[in-house]
Amino acid sequence: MYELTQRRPQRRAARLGDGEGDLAKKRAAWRRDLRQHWPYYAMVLPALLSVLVFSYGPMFGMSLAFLDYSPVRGFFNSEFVGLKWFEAAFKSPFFLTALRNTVVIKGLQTLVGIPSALLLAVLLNEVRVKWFKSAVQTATILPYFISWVIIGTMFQNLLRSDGALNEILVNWLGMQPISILRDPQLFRWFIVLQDTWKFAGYFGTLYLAAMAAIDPALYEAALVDGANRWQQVWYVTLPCIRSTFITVVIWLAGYLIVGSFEQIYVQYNVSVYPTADILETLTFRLGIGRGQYSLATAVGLFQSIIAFGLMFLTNQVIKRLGSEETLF
Amino acid sequence: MADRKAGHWRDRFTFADLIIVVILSLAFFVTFYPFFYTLSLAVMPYENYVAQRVHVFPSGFTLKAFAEILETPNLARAFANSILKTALGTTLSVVLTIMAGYVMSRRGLRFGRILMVLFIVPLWFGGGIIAYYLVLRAVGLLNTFWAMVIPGLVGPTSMLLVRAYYHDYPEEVIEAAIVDGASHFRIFWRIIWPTSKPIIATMALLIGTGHWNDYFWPSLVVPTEWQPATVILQRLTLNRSLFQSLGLGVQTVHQSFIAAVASCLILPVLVVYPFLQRYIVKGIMIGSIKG
Repeated sequence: MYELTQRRPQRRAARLGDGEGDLAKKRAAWRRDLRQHWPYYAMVLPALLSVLVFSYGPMFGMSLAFLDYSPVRGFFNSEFVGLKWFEAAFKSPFFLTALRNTVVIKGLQTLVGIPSALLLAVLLNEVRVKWFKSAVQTATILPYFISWVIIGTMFQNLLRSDGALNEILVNWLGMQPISILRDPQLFRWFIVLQDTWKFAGYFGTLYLAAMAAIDPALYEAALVDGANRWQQVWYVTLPCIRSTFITVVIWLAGYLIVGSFEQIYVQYNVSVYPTADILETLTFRLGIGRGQYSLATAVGLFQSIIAFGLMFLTNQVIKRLGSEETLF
Repeated sequence: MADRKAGHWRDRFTFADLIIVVILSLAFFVTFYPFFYTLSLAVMPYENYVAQRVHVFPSGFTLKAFAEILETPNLARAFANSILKTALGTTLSVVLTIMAGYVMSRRGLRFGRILMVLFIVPLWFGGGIIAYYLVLRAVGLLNTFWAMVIPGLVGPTSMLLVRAYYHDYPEEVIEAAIVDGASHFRIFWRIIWPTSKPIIATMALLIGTGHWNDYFWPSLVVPTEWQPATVILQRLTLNRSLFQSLGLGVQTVHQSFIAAVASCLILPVLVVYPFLQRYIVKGIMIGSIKG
């Protein structure tokens, strides 16, 4: 507090402005802050370095998208080619398919996922038996902490031609075996539902925590007004978690074009490319697989820009609709 | 319907309650069964596997598959790598992230705003896989064990979560300690850290599971002898010939072995999670509401 009172007269002087003396004062203030608070800055330095190198560093690498890069020639000998790679990408049928798949899959995942998580939370909130509530919550959040590699293995066991699912279909029900992992149409829905399987518990827990913070007096008021259980949910529970929900929606909106790379990468195969090859798996094959670094980077850059745009757009839309729970 | 809390649930178990129980039980079953199936495959003896046509239910119990994992040098080594990577990476990351988040939550810093902007911008823009790979090469981390640990020591999202947690921490406590002559480092370790169990637990779980489950980059930028078990598991699942090349006997069932590897990767998480569960909810909640 003492430091803040000390600074005020300087800030006022700076605002009133008196030329170069003013600038020198500012510089002195910055330097004083460094001297006074150097332990703080020292503590945040590793984090800063980490971010600078591994988050900003790759941003320079994005310039590859505008260069005709070849590992042989190196970075500085590659000529500038403007939007050539972007053009090439848009003309490629693979790209368009991958783009479509990314949006479709992610869109479906969001459409199925958001209501599922919400439903899960609402239902769990209605449960009064502690052990049951706890058991369901723990089970549903578990997949979130398990890597896609393991999930991929588990589901491969279940869905292969001699896996549990087909055993039930063939040996118990006398039907034909189905190959979810190889059929493009089935695989797409499989990916969508599997994503919900993994994340519903996590987001559900989030909403549930928000619901736990609701003032019981609101429920009592609703009861007095004659609301039954479902009306209470509609008029009290849901509105009270609006800010949490909106934050999640905005966050997910940006990810609409950023597909779930690992999920698809560990489980896809050539037969399902038509419906399941997304921008990132394509980038990976082109980039690391075939060494087309520049093209791959261009696609990645395209994704980043659109993702940011989407998030910004959603934020604006929500703002227009009158909420204050926006990120910007 | 009367007050939500009063009375025993059996007294007012309605039809709606029944539907709720059915749906939630279904959710439980659907999320739980795949793990259950994998675990039961992992302990199924060879004879049972071959004898039955149906493997939906567990049958028999043997730890043979797990023993075989220990006897397979590459695999045992891979698990050791996973443990080492997770222990090292998580400890470093948690300490640094919490330190950074704490600093960023303090309001008297002139450079505070600039730092915030610096940390937030990467949330919106990524560099892409290729660019990241090139950075790793430039810093000399390519093809080393450390490529799995050093990058991303502090992720912006984690840091923001920690910052939200410390946002309301009273400045007076810190100032009193300064008056008493303590340095900022001392304050952090003696006062802040011991009372921050919830956020430490949350970070440890989130970062820890992230490291334990890490698959993609380790498969690309780490030499084979340092690769974690997740990479080996993926290769096994996709590639039967790798299975043979590990030199396993005829009596080994492909499925059981893979299931055993997967189980080894799942069980630690299953074991740790219940202990940290109460902190998680709080941590996620604080991070997303305030973040």
